[in-house]
Amino acid sequence: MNNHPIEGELRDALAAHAQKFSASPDAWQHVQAKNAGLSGHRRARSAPSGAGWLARHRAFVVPAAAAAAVAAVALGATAVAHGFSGTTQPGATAYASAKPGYSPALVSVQVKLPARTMAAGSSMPAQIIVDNKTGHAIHVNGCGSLFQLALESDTYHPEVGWPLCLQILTIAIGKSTYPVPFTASYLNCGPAAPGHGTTHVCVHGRPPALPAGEYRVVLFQSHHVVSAPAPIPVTVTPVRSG
Amino acid sequence: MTSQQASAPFSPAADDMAAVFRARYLEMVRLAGLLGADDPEDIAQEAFARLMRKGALDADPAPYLRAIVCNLTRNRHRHLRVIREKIPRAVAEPSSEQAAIVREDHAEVIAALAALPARRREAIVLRFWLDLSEREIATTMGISPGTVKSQLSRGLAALARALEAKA
Repeated sequence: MNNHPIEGELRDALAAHAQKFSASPDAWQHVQAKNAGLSGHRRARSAPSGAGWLARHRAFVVPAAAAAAVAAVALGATAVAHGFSGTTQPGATAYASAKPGYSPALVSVQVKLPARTMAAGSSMPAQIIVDNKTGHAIHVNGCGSLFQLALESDTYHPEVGWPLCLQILTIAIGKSTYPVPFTASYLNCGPAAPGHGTTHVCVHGRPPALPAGEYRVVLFQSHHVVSAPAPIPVTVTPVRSG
Repeated sequence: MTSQQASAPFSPAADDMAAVFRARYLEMVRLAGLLGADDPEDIAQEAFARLMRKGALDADPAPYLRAIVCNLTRNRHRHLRVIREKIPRAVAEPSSEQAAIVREDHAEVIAALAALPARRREAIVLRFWLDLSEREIATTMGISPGTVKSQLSRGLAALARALEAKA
């Protein structure tokens, strides 16, 4: 087989590019942990993921919150059991748990809103920009998404939960942008005359719109990955009739 | 390594496994990286974990490890593609690693390689980075040597076209 004209350049490029990938000093420990079957190290193959899944199953999210909290505790214990030292070696892999193995100051987050006013019941396509300056990708045991945004006020404090599945969610090195839409609606609802707690009566199977007023957009995290940014004030206006 | 050692079954006792890890881990990380994995170390670690679970092996576990790295990376790409289809606006900004790729000397070649279909990219990397024969590539990828030849030929042609277009 005759050499192709670009073979030489291709070999040089591959050799040079390969040098950019290095091995972290604790890689062997990670392999052993994976081999021991610690579930947090495995990728979930068939678990649903993404904000779309979350949006479609929102009604399920809050009822599952209590169970998710239990799972979160278990996952935190798993991550601790992996023996992460908290060092931040270049190219190393970090797993976030209740106590991140990196300095939260090296991971900043910014919430971007396209507007500061929204109609009750409407949705706003917000974005969360995470800047990971730790020098390594951060892996978090979670399900669907790391972040959610929700509106809260002095009198309304949303109960945000996550669906139950086990995935390893990765925050890449550098800036990553996550679309995190939120709605000016309650996050949960139930049948008529619920008679318990803060459950609101569903309207056409969906949570009802929030009453008009002054709210704050608050960031919720499935695990403590970043220091929470300051809430952003948002005005919810009444639904236009007709 | 003698031929007698080469034909003996590989028993992944802890010390042996550690030796294989030391000898092959970086290669597997780099293979995953060249195949475009977003987290090459995670792929390589999973490959070694599967090797440990597999038990007795042939003398050289490298072909098995390479095959696992290729499969895992391909699956990861597929998974990410599905997520991006479901979340159209996701991850618009390049990571700092991607930015570094753009700046490097061989950026055009690497970018053209990244645009190839996964199987073609695997064949190219295995041939021109690891210098594997067509038969070894066929074993790694689980395809026939004829298909390897075809993938290499088409891959090189596509790379040449892409580089000419940018020249």
